[in-house]
Amino acid sequence: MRPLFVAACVALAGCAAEPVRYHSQNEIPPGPGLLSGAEGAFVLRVGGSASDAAAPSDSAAPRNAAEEREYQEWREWKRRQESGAN
Amino acid sequence: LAAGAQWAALAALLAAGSPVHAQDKGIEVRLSGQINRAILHADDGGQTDWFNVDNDNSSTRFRFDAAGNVRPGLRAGILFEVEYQSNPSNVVNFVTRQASPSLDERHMDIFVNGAWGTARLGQGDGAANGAAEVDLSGTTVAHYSDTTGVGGGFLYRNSAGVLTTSSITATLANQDFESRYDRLLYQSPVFSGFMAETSWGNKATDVFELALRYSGKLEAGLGTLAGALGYSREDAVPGGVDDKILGGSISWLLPSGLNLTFAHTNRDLPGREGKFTYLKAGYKFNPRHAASVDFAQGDDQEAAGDEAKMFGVGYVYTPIAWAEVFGLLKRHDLDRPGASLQDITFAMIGTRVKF
Repeated sequence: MRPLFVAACVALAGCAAEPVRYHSQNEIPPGPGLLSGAEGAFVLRVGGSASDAAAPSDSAAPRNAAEEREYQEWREWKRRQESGAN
Repeated sequence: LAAGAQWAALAALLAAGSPVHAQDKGIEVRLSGQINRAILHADDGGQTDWFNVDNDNSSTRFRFDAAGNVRPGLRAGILFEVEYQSNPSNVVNFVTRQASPSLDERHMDIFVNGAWGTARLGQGDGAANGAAEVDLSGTTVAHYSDTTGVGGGFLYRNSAGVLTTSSITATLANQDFESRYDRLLYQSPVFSGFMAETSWGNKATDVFELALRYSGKLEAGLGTLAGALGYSREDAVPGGVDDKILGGSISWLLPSGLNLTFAHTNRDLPGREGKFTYLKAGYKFNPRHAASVDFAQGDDQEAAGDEAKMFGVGYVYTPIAWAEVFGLLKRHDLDRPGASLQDITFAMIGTRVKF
């Protein structure tokens, strides 16, 4: 039994094209959140660079529709900036 | 740096509480959570009723975590997660229709991560927690190897219609090792998809666990494979026997969306061995839909000669990235020598919303 198990592990290690990170679906799912938007969490960056610190309302849920719009516009702008930089 | 110096760096980071100690992007603090509610119908052969429950397959909870670089190549942080369930689906039954919510611990954890792996200290997953629950079906919010997450508190009724003291949880647990406890955990780096873990901690007595995990995309279009093997030992209280569990699970998701999952565990019990076996076959069709059927069998768990079984059908629809709608139908039965017990059937529909 033991040699079979070792052989199976070696075969798996050999034919794994790329390791993937397993995420249990019983945990909080990755991806966007209803209130937190694309980030999936309310994020506060402490001690980061100027561009990170400049995020409006990044640490709390948008309080109203205007703030939500402003937040989404800022996120869209930041996404464009980052993809442009790449 | 030597290990002692790394721990000192972590202590300095945590004690300082000042952003000047952070490097690169600083410390990232994240707050996230989910609400998971459902309507559950139960029929134990003598009584039927509806229950408004918190789906214990993935309970209502919130999480606070923070991480930052201590220095290049060394990261440290914290994880704080609690659940808050009103009428947990694994607790309610015909005797206890209402269970008041309480704030229950899940993780209170400090971690350090480097090229050598990850060390975690505090309340959290033991090394083998979840090793019997690896599942790529996409339907685990509806059903998975822990068949007691929905309806686990219900008691079997005998042929005379009288409730016994035997519950679904006592007779068909997946014996998924030692769950969460106060421990010191080490996780190795990932080598070709493999990762090893070990933990030591304590509940009423000392607990030791080992696990080997694998997850990887296979070559030649063979899809994704994930699995784990685990071992746990909880020392006996005076006069008792050590609680030892050995087992694991494996799940294979083909590019077509077809998927298969298998789990098996053995547990040393006084004078017998409690066994659990689980099979699931599913199909993910387009990113929004997943359906599956499953079967579980538990032998000799509460008493020698017991044979508990479960058949289930589950479906999960993901209309939008932050919400899932799920449905579940399942039937439990228990064969016990010298007893005639009635089947228990469940139907559940609900939704999980990440906020």
